Amino acid sequence: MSDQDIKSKRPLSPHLQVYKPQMTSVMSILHRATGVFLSLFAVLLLLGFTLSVLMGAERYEQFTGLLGSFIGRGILFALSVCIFYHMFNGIRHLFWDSGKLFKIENAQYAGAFVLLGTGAATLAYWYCAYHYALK
Amino acid sequence: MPYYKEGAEFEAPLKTVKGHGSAKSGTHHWMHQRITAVASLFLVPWALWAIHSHILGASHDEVVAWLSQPLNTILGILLVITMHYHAVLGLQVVVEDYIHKEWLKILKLVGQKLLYTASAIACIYALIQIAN
Repeated sequence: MSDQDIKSKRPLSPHLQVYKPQMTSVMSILHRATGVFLSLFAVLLLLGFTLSVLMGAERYEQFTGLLGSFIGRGILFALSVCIFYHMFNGIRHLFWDSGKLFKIENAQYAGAFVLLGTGAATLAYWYCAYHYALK
Repeated sequence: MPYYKEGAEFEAPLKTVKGHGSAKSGTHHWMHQRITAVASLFLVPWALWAIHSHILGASHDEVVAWLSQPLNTILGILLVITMHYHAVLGLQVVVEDYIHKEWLKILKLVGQKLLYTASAIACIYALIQIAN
């Protein structure tokens, strides 16, 4: 077999402009997007939290004031969605890594489970935050 | 003509093995991404629980007291290490996939590692100082 033959038999990667979005492909790219978002904001949150606690009560109150503002709460909400999505979908990835859930319908069922879980966990987390923790 | 000539074909020429190919440390990277993922499955729910039960609505003194307990300091440090390491490994793959200018790619890869190392050390330093 010549090199040319081998090359022509290789599968092409999908051209995104003409590729119909599927649940599996959209969820895959969301896993990356949430990962990038988390690697910026979750790390900044950890850094801001630990350093402001260290710097004393006044700085800590400034920090929590920032988080409690409208924009701060918006970022925290997005952060919570990303955490739950990345965590649940990460479990789905670990199943794939161990050779499970490869049938298309199983991958889709697990995907639906991830989306429902993300919604439910986010709502439950914020409900508890307002009704118990912040009381 | 057979695709592989007998003998010498299995030795790749030097020009094709130079650079950061997957043959260099792919499995190592993959495995570490999974190990930190599994560790996160325990540490992140702990952190989410801690936010609700010990941090939201608590005063600075209460937060300091809670963070100063040995178990919480240690779990906090583990969370910091796991998250920073997992983030760096993930960002590395994203940069390798989407950035094709060699100098920009190297710059981002090295820059990320330095920034995340600095951030992790700052967090760990703070946690230890708080516990003192």
